[in-house]
Amino acid sequence: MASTLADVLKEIDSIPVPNFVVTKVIELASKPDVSAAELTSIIEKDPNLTVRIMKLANSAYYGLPQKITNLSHAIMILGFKTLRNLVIGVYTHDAFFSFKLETTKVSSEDLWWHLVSTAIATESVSNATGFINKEEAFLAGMLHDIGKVILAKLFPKYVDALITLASARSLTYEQAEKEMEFPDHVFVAKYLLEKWKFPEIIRIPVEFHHNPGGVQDESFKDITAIVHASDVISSILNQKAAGNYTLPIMKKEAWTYLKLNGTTFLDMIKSTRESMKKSDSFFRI
Amino acid sequence: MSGEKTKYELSNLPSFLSNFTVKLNSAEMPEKCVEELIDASKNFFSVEDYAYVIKDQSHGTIKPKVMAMGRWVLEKKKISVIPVDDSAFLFLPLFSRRHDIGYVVMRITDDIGDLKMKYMDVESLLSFETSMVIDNMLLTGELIKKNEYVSEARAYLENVLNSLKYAVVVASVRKGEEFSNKPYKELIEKNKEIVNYIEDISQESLIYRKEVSREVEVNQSFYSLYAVPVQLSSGLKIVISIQDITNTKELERLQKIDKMKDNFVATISHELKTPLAAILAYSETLLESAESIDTDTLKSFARTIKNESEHLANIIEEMINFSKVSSNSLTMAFGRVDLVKILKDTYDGLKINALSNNVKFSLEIPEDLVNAYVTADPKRIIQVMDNLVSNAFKYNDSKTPEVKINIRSEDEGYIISVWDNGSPIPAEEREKIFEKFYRGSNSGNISGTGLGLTIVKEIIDLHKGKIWIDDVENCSFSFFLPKRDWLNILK
Repeated sequence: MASTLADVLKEIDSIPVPNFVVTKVIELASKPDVSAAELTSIIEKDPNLTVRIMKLANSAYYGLPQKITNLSHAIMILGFKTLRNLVIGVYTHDAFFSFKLETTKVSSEDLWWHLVSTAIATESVSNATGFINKEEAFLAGMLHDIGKVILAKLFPKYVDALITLASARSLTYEQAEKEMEFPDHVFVAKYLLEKWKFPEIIRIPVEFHHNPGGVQDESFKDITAIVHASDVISSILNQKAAGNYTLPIMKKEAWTYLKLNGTTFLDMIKSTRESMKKSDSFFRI
Repeated sequence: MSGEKTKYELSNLPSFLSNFTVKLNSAEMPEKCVEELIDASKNFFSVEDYAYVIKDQSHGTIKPKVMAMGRWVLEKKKISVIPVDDSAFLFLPLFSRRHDIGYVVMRITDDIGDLKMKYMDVESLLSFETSMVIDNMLLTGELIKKNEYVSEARAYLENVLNSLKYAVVVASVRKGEEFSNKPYKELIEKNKEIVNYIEDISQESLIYRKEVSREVEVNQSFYSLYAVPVQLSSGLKIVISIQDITNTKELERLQKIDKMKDNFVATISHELKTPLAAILAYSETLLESAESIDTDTLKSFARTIKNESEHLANIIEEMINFSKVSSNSLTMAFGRVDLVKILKDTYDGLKINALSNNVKFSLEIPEDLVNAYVTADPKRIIQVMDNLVSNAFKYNDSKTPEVKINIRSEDEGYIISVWDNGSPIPAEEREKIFEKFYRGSNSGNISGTGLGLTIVKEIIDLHKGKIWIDDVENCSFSFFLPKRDWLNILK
């Protein structure tokens, strides 16, 4: 088992970078001048990806009253960023969740469920708090615990030991991590997303999703608080999927920043649970 | 490409947004806000036609198919360009943190493939800002409506409270009187002194935090007061309701008198029967066997008949007097008279009576009081004295009965007391004893009409005097007669 930071980074560096289409989509989706036609032509280069995205776009989750028949329509109707999110979603699933993990304490299905439900929770939280960059929050939610799956893939024994500790002492995954002398999942995710050239609006909330008070740049405080809240909501719906053995509690800074109260928070949990009922397609990517 | 149009360059987005904000803020209605939003959108899209829905109200015709998409956009809260048939529609959802407002749909002629993300982003921002302003307008509208409702409810309550027969006043701890209904205002105008009683009861209710009720008499009117502490969000209030129960009191009094009259009839018939039976029995005996009875027995019979007849006459006299009292026609022959002389006469007249009743009877007149002139009807004063003294004889329960009359001079008038060494009149009966037909708890089988003291009080009242029961260990009635010549006050 690797024990030094350098070893860990070496292992992470062995993960292949996303393919050309995904990299290009991430790049284009950050350019204001991008047109629907441009995005369409890139995605269409990968027919398999295109078909799977069309399936997602027509899924019960989006619940469109009419069927979308071509990719450019999907981009116009669902929006540029949503399409980007679907592309990254499909890629992430293929790259990290399409095989069985060696860990015995947590499965890739558990972790994928946690990521999808957190992403879906960001929609409820964004709507309830009046946050308009919903698509960015969605993607950050979907990627926030990517570090966990990478650690589970590269160091399954370590992750099992970590979760055994969490379960023995009723800790959250993150609390157990602090007891271990090992790079944590947040560090791993941060390293990876920087390498993959994700914009700050995605990287910052992933990096600070356990510490929303640590965000300095005012323009990323809201999205970080939203991802933090969504992570907690997902854990409330299924605690062990994220490797938690006690309920994580929302940080006060995020709670007050989003001006939440008991009722709004409960409503968010309820609406996330409702949306999850229509989220089948995300698990059959 | 249809609608070849120069797109607004976003190089000066801040000033564009500030311009838009100014226009939004000067809009007066949600509809106007939407018009501004559409105008602004024309900088980025070639808008052919538009329609919108605010709070389920459609403005412009919208096909069902388009409406379904509009509902979807609002549900997802996503800006969307949707190809329907052969045109494209730009949908902007309008929503706030609080609730969904509606959506705007614009038919655009732009080439869909050429649409840029930045325009969608700006559009999203514009519709969000518009939503905020509309939401505030709707909120203000709701508040105004709520305010109207509140003042309507207030007016309604005030009307109800004003139409009550009760006077109602609400007092708060700090501000004092906070609300009062019309009857209350009328009440304090008529009877200012009641305010003191209201303050008292409200203080009491406040201190003990509980309901307090009581009846008070103010200027010959009776009121029932009821105070309740009520905890409202604005603090602790005391709600006091006041009811004029004078009429109820009067009714109660009349009912009581009615009952007393029944008692009186029962008593009086017994009272009349006893002497009559004696007179009858003795006179029959006389008629049947006058020859065979010796003179002494005859004389004793005749005396009994005379005594009983006098007793009868007395009863009848009392009844006549009482009916005069009742009808306010007790005639008086006032003059300046000497109380000392009257007392002496009374004393002399009753001395024999005292002897036969085995009562130690005395009259005490201070040595320096030679005369005691008052304005009075001597016959009536003698009647009062007779009544008080014979009561003292009759109801004295002492084994060695003793009755004392005394008179003393005060600044304003004379006080005459008739004292006996019997048990005192219980405190709770002292007021009632002057009421019509009332008979004290110790009256037992002693004969009496229950009218004597009522007449006595009436007479003293007509003399501008006062009568009361002294608070002493034994039984003592006192009355006061003024010295001044009130009849000829003008002289």
